Amino acid sequence: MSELQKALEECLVLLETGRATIEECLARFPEYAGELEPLLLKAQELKTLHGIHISEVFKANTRNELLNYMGDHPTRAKNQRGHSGLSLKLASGLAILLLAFAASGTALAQRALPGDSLYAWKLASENLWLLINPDDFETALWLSTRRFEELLAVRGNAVLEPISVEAYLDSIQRVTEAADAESLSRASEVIGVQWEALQKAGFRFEDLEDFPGPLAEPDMQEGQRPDPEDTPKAGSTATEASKIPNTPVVGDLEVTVQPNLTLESLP
Amino acid sequence: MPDSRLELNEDQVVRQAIQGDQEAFARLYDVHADEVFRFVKIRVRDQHTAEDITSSVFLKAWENLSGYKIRKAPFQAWLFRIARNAVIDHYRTEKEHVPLEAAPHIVQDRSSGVPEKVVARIQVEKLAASLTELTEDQRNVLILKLVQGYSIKEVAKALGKREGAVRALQMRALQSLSKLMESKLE
Repeated sequence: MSELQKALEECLVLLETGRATIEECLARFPEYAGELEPLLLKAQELKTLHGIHISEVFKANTRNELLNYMGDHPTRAKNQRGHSGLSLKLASGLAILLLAFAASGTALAQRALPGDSLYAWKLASENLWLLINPDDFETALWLSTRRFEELLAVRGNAVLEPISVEAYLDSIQRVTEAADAESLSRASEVIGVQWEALQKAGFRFEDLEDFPGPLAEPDMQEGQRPDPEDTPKAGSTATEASKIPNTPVVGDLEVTVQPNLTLESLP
Repeated sequence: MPDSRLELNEDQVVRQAIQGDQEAFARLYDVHADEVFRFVKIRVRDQHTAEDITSSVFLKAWENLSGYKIRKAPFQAWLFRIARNAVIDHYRTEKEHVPLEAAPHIVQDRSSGVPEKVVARIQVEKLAASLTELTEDQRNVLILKLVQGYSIKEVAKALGKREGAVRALQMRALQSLSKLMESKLE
């Protein structure tokens, strides 16, 4: 988390709990006052939207409709009462079949890509691995590699690419959070290689606009900040030249990327 | 968060609803309908559309209740995911372009003077319109965190994101919103 982000977070908590005014927050962080003030003002303005409420008439009518609907469409749990004997035998048989299917299906699913029918299965097997593996860092690194490979595979797909970008960013965020002092250098090396490959594949890193920490703009000049009009919306892919500096930072890691990177300069 | 939820012992009520207790689910609706409507209304602007989507959220929640796992995410987080997907589906099918003139239904403080109410309403309209120009993730974070008042942890669970990602999204969203509204003033 950058220092500005920490200051913002602290100020928002102080404002939320009524322990400080905006002016007191700005006095607390004078070095960030210029940047903080508009953000805190907007945060306060957003609270006015809390005044939006559901109509009581609509709420009551919908409740009645919901009860009628539920009466016509009871849940499966209620439907299955009173069929215990036959259901148990069927359930056991199905369980055996499912286990056999799961074993073979899981193996097949590991190569699935976003959009494939087995992709959900792949994610489910990863979630299971996350639960049972005690090594958070190695698991996070393994997942980031998977997301990186998927991202390369769906490059150019207008629907899948932005989803994969987001998934990849989440995965490397998980790596930086799981890394300790000993594993930082390894994380830096692995992610550095991934970034080089992504740049070679044509990613321009406006996609990393929402990446936590100082990744997108650690030492940017004011004129280099992306304009709101350039902010990619859900489903869009960025195509303009990157505005990030030549030494992107992944959380607290510094990843060295060759300046003036071109296809010809890559190994 | 509403105090009524704490009094409700929500996990117990959710378990009852999962077992098919319709009145239990109706109680959950009573607690969460307002916040779901607010979440949807900020994003679709039109009153009737927001009401329709809100209804559909609870119908879908009832239909899929057997798939909800209490330990995986809070019930409200699960509802917000359904609401988010319902709004996305709405835009995909309707390709709605909300005009700036569309006025959100706002319950204002009755003690405000008329001119102040009008000014406040215009400001809220501009704010809501600017929100639609953010990325979806940015918009969701701002609505859940700063409008609905949920913690970073709760927002992260609702959106399936890491807490660090939510913090960063919050900052970027506020920065973008600030620039958007400044540019509208010019």
